Amino acid sequence: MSLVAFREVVKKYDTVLTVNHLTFTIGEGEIFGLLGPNGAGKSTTIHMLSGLLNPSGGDILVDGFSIRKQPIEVKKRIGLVPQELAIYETLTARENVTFFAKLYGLKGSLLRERVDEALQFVGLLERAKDKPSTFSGGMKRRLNIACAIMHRPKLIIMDEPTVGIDPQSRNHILESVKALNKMGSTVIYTSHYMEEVEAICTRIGILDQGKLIAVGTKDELKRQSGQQEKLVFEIDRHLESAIMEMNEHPGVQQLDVRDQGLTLEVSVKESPSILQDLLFILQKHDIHLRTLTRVEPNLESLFLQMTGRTLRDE
Amino acid sequence: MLVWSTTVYYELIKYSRMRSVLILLIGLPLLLILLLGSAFDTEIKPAKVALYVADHGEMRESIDRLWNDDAIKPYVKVLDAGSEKEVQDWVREGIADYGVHIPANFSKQISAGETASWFTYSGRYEEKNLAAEAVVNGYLENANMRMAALRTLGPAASEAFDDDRSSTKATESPILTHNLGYGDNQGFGKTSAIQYYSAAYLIMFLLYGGMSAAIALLNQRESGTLQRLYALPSSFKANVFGIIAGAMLLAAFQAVIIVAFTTFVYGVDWGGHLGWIALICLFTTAAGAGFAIIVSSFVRSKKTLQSLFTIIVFSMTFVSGGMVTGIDQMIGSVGKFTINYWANESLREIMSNTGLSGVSHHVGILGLIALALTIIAVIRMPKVVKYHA
Amino acid sequence: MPSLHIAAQLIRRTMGSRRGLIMNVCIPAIFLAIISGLFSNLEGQKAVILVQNADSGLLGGYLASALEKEALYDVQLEVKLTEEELKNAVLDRKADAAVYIPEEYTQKLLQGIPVEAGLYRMNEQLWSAALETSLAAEANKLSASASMVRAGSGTADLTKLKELLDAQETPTIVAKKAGMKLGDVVSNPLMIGLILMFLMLLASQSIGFIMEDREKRTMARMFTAPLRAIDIAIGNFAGSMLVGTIQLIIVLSLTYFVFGYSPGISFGELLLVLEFFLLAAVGLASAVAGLVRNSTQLSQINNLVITPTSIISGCFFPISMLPDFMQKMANFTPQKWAIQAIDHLGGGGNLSDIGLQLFILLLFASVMIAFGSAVLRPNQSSKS
Repeated sequence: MSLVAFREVVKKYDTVLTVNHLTFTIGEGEIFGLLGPNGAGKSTTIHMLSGLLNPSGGDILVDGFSIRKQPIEVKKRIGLVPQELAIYETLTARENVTFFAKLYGLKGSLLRERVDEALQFVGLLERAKDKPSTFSGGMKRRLNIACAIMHRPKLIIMDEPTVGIDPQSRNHILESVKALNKMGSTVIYTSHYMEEVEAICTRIGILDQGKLIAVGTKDELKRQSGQQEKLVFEIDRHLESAIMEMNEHPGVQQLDVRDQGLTLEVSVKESPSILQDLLFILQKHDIHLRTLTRVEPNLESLFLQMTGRTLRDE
Repeated sequence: MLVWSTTVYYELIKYSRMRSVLILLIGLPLLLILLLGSAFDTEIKPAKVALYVADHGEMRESIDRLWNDDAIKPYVKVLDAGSEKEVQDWVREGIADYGVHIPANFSKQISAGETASWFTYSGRYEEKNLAAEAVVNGYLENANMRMAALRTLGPAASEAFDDDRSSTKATESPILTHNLGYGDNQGFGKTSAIQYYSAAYLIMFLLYGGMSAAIALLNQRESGTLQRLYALPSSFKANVFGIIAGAMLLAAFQAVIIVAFTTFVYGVDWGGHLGWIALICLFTTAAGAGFAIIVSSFVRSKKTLQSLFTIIVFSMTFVSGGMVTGIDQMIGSVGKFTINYWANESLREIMSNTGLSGVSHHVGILGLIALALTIIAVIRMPKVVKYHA
Repeated sequence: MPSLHIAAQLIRRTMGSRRGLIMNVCIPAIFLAIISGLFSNLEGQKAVILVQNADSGLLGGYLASALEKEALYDVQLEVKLTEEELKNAVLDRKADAAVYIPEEYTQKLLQGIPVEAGLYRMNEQLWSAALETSLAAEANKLSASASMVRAGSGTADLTKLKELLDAQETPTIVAKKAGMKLGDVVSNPLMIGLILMFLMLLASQSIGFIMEDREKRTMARMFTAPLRAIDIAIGNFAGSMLVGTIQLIIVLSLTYFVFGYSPGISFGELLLVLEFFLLAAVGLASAVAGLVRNSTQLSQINNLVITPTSIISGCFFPISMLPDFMQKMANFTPQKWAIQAIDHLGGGGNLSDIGLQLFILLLFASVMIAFGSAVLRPNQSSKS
């Protein structure tokens, strides 16, 4: 059953459609990566989902509740980790988390328990009495997360939670996302770091110009994009006839010659014996193979292919 | 040479984009000068007297003559009330400053030789009460005198008096008044109110202007651009100097606008000697900037600097008489420990044209203060601009 | 309930730290205390008038003593100074005015020769004009009396003149001062005015915190919690009010009970009026906040609004000193109505007498808050 359902969601600013009839679902237990260039409508989408903005049309259902009709019920089930460090510099880490926990209606021993749990979870329990002004960037980011999870939301929305931090903190955060997911939370994750999304997300949606232009698992996206894997041969001598012969193989879609003919990049179609066939041709011409690499298409290249290479400056 | 002038240029561009800062530094002093200058201007504001005359007897004519007399117009403005209650209400509401109710039987009682009376209602302001009472008492004493003359000398004397009075009426006042003051009001000394406040607020806001040097430095440190300046292959000191020079130029701009605007729009006489005025402004700004840099070397945060320095400047202005005049009579010479005092005194001496010897004395002390603060500021500077100081 | 947390949060941020406590509570309280101490000495200062009566006759004494009737003058008779010394005393500000009654004053009056008494003052002000008027009236009376006696008996009969003048000492026609009980706040507003200004700065500060919330996106975070927008609005406004109230109570208690200042009205009544005013001040600050982009600008623009409105509304000196059009403009400032309400209470009025003033403050607050509720829109972009 889907936890989040976007139904024909529209957001207009004046006459500009920032979000254009968005319809998709996110299932329970997923880590859903939401990608898109600047100005694609990611933030608007997330703000509508978390109740900061009202949609101009359509509706979003979270756990069966409508954001338009039952916003309070929806908000109870959501924890938002905003892109900005939305924490009070003058309050201690514990006070920060406690304040927001109170706003979620937690109180008494449950409040204390959950605050401790959240701080423990992000690894800040020892520094709970310190103010964020003494924290490193990574610690602030982690506190930013703690302020969104102490009410154990069903859905956690993370809007670029790893901007500008060291690898240790980043790793910690990525591990936390996975842990939260294991503990039963569904996660929506946006980031500009493709390898992060590739590493943790079970499903990915690519948003551009207010529309979802592709959605699916990484493999599904690859298939949709038509991008294929490449074989890269580095050889010891250049021989035109051998290259011609390889090019004529039916499984070869494209063959690029680089490095004065010493590197061959071959895009291949699905064909069971292609690697063997190509190696055979090389051997036949007495060409020695130095290295052979198989390059799979990555999310970054997929993304650039789908959304184009022009700069997006909003 | 080129380095710091580039910094100055970009500092000025930045200031020109901060519209609310400019309004605060230039608009606010002009507004305050206007408000305070017109509040304490020369013009005597007459006491408004709510008057209800119920009497229609024979005394009515002389009563009307009293209140319509042109001689009292500068001091007393009559508001005609419709009833005794209205008189009271007007005084209570502050519509009138003083109330007079002349009862219906006043003439009757006088002609019967009985005790007669007016009812007066004192208002909130002692001065205005005084003015109104002087008018009321003048009339009543005159009436008393005639009653007394009637009793002691008989009716003939009273009639003779009437003849006598008509002949002497044109004579001069029996009091020869010498006005010894120069300006409008004792509190302002030899300058007028608007001159007094023009000087006070020019100085106060130049001190604020000086603070923008320290704020610019802290801003650049907080946003990290100062770090960038460190990395430049040029003298860091020159850059810092450029930032401060930018703030000084802003203050110069402030001074020019305020002096020019008050001169041409409010008609304030600054007394000439523009060179001296420029020097005073320079010293004041330098002292303000130096002071602000010293303060920021201790607090090191923009917000704290702003609130602390605002309190300091506000207090110095207050103590030096920039808000309430004559404060020196209450607190003695505490004012002399402020930058404002020396700058204000210099400016006021220029305004009152009393010769430059006093001016140079005051400017000299101001210069010494500025120099001392600048030296301390230079010593404390690393604490402001260095990241690891 | 959630509103309470937001309100408590605002209080903690304003006063929770040592710095907040010092800056927002202690310094204002001490400052107000010093001011009240300074100005309580100033009140009741009388104009010092030196009188030198060089006249050996009867009438000079009458003229001199005429001034003593006025309670607001500090008249010093028999100073034994020459006319020149009197003049210098005024110039050196040792006296506010000086009167010199020349030799043979009586004699000349009796003979009907015009004679002038000298009045020295720095310049013409209302009080010194009144002094001049009183002196002139007295002198006219003396000369008229003298001429009547002369006309009646042909010669200047001193006994008759004395009889006439003494008869005037017990007047039959008098001005009865009706006891009007008036407050002294409008005429002497500095203390209350400073408290009002302090409250406005306070309101500006707490609205600044709310704006900071918006800039730092913590407000957005509040909106993602399961709260209604109205909860957040109430929390923020109530928080601002509470912060103000707590500071007000502390500062007022200090000035009332520790430093012993009292404007002549009870603590509770003053607090009530100031609460209404605080509401208007919070409204005004939030309306200004709706017009500016960030909290730094807010504090700058607020300075621009607070100081001039405080001047024209009579917070520092009586409003009657200002030109008429400025007095009319003052009707649009909340300070004026608060001062008037406190003045009425000080003059013995009770709460029903200040209904109008309180209503105006309330009206002001509601209009301004309606304008200012925009400050609570979390998504309004706050890019500078």
